[in-house]
Amino acid sequence: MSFDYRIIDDVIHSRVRLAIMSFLATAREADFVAIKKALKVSDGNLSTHLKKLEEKNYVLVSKQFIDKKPQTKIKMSPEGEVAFRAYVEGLAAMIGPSANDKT
Amino acid sequence: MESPAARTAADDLALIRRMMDAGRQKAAFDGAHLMIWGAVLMVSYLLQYLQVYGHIPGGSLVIWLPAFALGWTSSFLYGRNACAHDGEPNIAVTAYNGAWLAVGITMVLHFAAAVASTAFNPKAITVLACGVIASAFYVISLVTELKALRAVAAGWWLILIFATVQKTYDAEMLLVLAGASALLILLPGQMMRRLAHQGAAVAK
Repeated sequence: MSFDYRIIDDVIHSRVRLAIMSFLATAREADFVAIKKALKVSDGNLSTHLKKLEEKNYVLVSKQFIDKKPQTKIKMSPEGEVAFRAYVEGLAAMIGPSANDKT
Repeated sequence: MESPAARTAADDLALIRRMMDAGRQKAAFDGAHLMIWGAVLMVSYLLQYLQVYGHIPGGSLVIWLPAFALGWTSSFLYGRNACAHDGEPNIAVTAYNGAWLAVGITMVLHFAAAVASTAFNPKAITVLACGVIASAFYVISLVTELKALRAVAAGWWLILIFATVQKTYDAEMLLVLAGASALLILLPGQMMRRLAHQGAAVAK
């Protein structure tokens, strides 16, 4: 099977960023702490990866105060949804038709 | 996160699947449905209490039909929004959704049959409601591993016993049920929402 490697999005391809995008694809919106616990990464590591996704406009980050405590909400953007879907389809194409049954 | 060494496309797909499962659980267990239903039931019981004492005109249907319509519509819209992305849900999410769907269907069918046959028995519907809600909370405590929800289930079973042993079933029972809706549905929903947003209320 021929596969065009250029369709693999470098921004999503990082393992942590891929995990963030996958989590947000179904959670829709989550706060920083929830993502950190799901991914088991440090604050600094997660911030760095979120910044890259935000720069590419794949996620929308908003900050608010709840009970006087700061809370950072992260949501996947429509551009992020398109890019994530394309990435998954690219991976599935790379592996073959049976991969579609696994996601 | 694991080391990226020797990473394959199959590993990536496995990671995607795992994280999407975690995301689904977060969306499913965030307690919003419980908060909606807790508030709807609490207000409905209070309104019915006022109706019994003549402060609100009409029969039970005037209160309960809009309540069911509002509850189901909100649940449907919220559920559709939360699951909009796709998804083959996992077993925990299916168990959670199935438990509450079963409660809803049981109550609506019982209510409709009782009203249609003019054999409405407030004690029977209360006992049935307490039983199915307690069972649903017990199932949810198992799939979410939130032990506090077992206490909530126990609370509903206690109300079931209390309602069953009552010799005279008076309007004050409506106040008990309004309080139970607040303490044993709305409050656990709020707790689940807080935990889910902190990343804790997810099944393993």
